[in-house]
Amino acid sequence: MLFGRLLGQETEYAIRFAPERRHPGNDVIYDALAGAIAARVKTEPGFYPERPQIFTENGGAFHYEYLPYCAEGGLIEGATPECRGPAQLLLYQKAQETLLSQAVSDAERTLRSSGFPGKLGLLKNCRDAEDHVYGAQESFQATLATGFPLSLYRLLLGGLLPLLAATVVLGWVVFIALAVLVLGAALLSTVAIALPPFRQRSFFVRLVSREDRSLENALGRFLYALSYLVTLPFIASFSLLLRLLAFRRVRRRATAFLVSRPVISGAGSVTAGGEFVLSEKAPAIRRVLRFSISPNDRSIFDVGNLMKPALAAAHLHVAPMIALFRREQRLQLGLADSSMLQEAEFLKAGATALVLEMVEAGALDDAPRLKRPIRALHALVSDPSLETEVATDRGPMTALQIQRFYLERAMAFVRNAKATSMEALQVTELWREVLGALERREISSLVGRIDWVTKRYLLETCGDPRDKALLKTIDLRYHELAEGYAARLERSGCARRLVQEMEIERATRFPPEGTPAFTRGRFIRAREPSLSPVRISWESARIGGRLHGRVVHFRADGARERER
Amino acid sequence: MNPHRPNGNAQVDLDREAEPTTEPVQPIQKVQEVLLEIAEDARRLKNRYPKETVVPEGGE
Repeated sequence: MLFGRLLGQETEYAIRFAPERRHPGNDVIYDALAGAIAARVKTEPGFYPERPQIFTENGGAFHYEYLPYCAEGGLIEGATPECRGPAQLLLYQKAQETLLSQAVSDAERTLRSSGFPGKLGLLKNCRDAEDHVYGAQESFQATLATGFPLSLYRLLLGGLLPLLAATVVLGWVVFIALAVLVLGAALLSTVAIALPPFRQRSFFVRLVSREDRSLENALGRFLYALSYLVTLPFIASFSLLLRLLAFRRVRRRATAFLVSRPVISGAGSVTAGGEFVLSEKAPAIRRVLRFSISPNDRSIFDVGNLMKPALAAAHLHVAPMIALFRREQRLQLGLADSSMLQEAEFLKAGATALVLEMVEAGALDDAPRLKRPIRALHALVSDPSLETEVATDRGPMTALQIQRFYLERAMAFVRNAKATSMEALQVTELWREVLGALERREISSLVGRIDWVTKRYLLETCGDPRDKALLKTIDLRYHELAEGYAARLERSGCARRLVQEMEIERATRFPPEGTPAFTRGRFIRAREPSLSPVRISWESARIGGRLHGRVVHFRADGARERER
Repeated sequence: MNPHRPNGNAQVDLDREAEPTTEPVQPIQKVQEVLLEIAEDARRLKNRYPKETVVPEGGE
């Protein structure tokens, strides 16, 4: 069945707060936003108490994404529920944006009443004015390996378990030693704080201070570096294993598609030098496959989502580690821009899902292979004229030629599918229209349909090439929810809508059927507030305490629950 | 509706005041109104918006 696989998106939203007096820190803003969301729809807290996260009744989630050394400078991350097909994904992505847009004004009021008056906004983008990168990641259910490579993967993964156990033990020893040190220092500081000469200099005062968070951040940086070192042997070994055996077919046959995809799915960006590039995130991509857990190790295929479950063993959660032995895994794409326009979002997810279907069906065994994928990516996104050729095993090809290859294959694949899929036909038709317009250089016909074209049009018509601040403002403001330029174009009818307000409003409260999100959402919707405390993860819900509570597992087919 | 590059390669005249009209809004006029609004908004915000939206350490 076409579009039978699960897919989803994680989107990091930059927080814009223009304070009238002082900035509360983004962590405080997240709390206000999460509270506002919880006042609109039913929510339950996430599994890890130390991680600020809520799951909503439509099966999606929000959390505060931050680095330990910058707790006050994080982002809001929204995760769609697991969906089936690009139309459903578009609907739930828009539902997420609607929930956040509605929460912004309520959160503003909360902040004002807490002594932080100011103007709040959220940007669905991937690159700020200082070239810091963040943003979107796409997830697709995919086959990690089959046959002998899968058996070998499982065998070698099993062989890594002693190393993982040693990593966990070492991690705990280091953590306990540090906790003793910090508690000791805090105790001494608490005593010292009673003495007037030390009152304002105390380590403890600085550690808990909301005004000066330098000590908290320094401690966070130290712990981050330490955890990086402690986990390095396991992560490096696991990365090597993934490089050898994970998603090899997809990497061989879909990399050229993904590298050329920004011509249809790029959000466009103005670089620090004032040049226009097709994608916000692509210039920051450094590898084909992620090698470490460092956020700067940006890659086309981001296997960080496979590394994290392994490290969950440190929290004595072994189920995520066991799940790594499964044949079907979540393939996460790091090379992903945040789409603002509905057609662009639909096309991006739909074309990518079709390519994965074709890879797994063996319909792309002769797909072009790039000789130097990262170099090719950087060259292609730097050329809005779309003339640049990159080296492939079929000779030099432009991004449009590569896309044409995949489109032709997709059209034949959909045409010859056993069961006709209207959704797949819509995807290939839209892909054909967009690619045709780009090939004929009728690029202006894609204003309001493709993000990089639309942003470039706004930069040309509303900007001034000599005024870099103005260009960057247009670049950034394009992405703001509700008040941004893409949203204004949509409201004025200049950008086509594929899903309607009523559908979106309903999707903020009801989960997609036939997915794990359905049982998750149904569970949250059915919960009575007076019942025992509950904590939700993507796979299960724990009701009551860890020792005497019970666990409800969310099944992949969304049909049944299993309890223990 | 897709504007298809309204009015050929027209640029928005940022210095011109929008004239009130009682006629039904035409698509091109509507697009021009939005572009004018965007241009004004961007000029108003350009000195602070890029700074207000910085994410100090980036993300994933």
